[in-house]
Amino acid sequence: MSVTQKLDANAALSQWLDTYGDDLYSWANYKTSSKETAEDLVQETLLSAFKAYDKYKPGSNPKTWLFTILNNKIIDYYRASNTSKSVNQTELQGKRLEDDNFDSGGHWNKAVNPLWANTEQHLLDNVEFTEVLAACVENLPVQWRGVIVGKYIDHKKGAEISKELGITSSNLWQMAHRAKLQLRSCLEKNWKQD
Amino acid sequence: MSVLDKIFSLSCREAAILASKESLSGLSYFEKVKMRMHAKICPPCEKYAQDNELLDQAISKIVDSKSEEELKLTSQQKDKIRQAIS
Repeated sequence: MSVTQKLDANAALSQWLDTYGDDLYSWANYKTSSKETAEDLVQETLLSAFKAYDKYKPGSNPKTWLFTILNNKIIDYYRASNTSKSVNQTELQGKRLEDDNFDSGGHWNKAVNPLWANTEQHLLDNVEFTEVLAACVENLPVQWRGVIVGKYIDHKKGAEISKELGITSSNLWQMAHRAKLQLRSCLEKNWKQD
Repeated sequence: MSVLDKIFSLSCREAAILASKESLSGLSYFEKVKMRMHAKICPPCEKYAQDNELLDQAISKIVDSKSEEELKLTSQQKDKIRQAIS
């Protein structure tokens, strides 16, 4: 890129950030359930758009172009969670959770504290509970989060989710199971029932 | 333990995994029977499976509300991004 092109690209991107930034941010947050991740993905999207600015066809809709880039970033984000380092860490966390909850014979180690005694349905309308749960979901390892929220985004089936995350079906169920154990433990720690 | 008991028996851990499988991919007839038999003799697992369903509903609600949530980047966040692309 020449200096003039660079300045052009910079001015265009800066304007697009003002016009479409919030939409990109909201969409990324919906797809990843993590505001922090969403912010990073918006930044990466604009950076890629800046570098590839000469590929943008003047007159076409910049919003469409930016969303295409963002959606690819979201796919990459979940794929990257499949690299061996992050898989090993998550596996370790999962094993620890299993050991906390079950003995070697597969029995519950401790009494299963009911998360909600008699409040049940009513709980779904409890704003405080929803906020704590949302924070717990946000803190899940990426793959587990993908499994847990994937089902409700675009109403995906289990097979589609495992394909997108590049894992087997039995892996998928195990991850969902471990994510649930983690969410329970997070709720037990952070949400105080009256 | 009779052979039949062995075929139908589940550990609590296996029952908990099946509870998660159920909500993602559904269960086979055989798995459903095993779950029902286990729940009968194991109240904690029955409770766990119920909790699991409620947890699913709550997560579904959170995801739904996120689809409508309109987030706004703060001016600091925008400045950070502008710096990254300049």
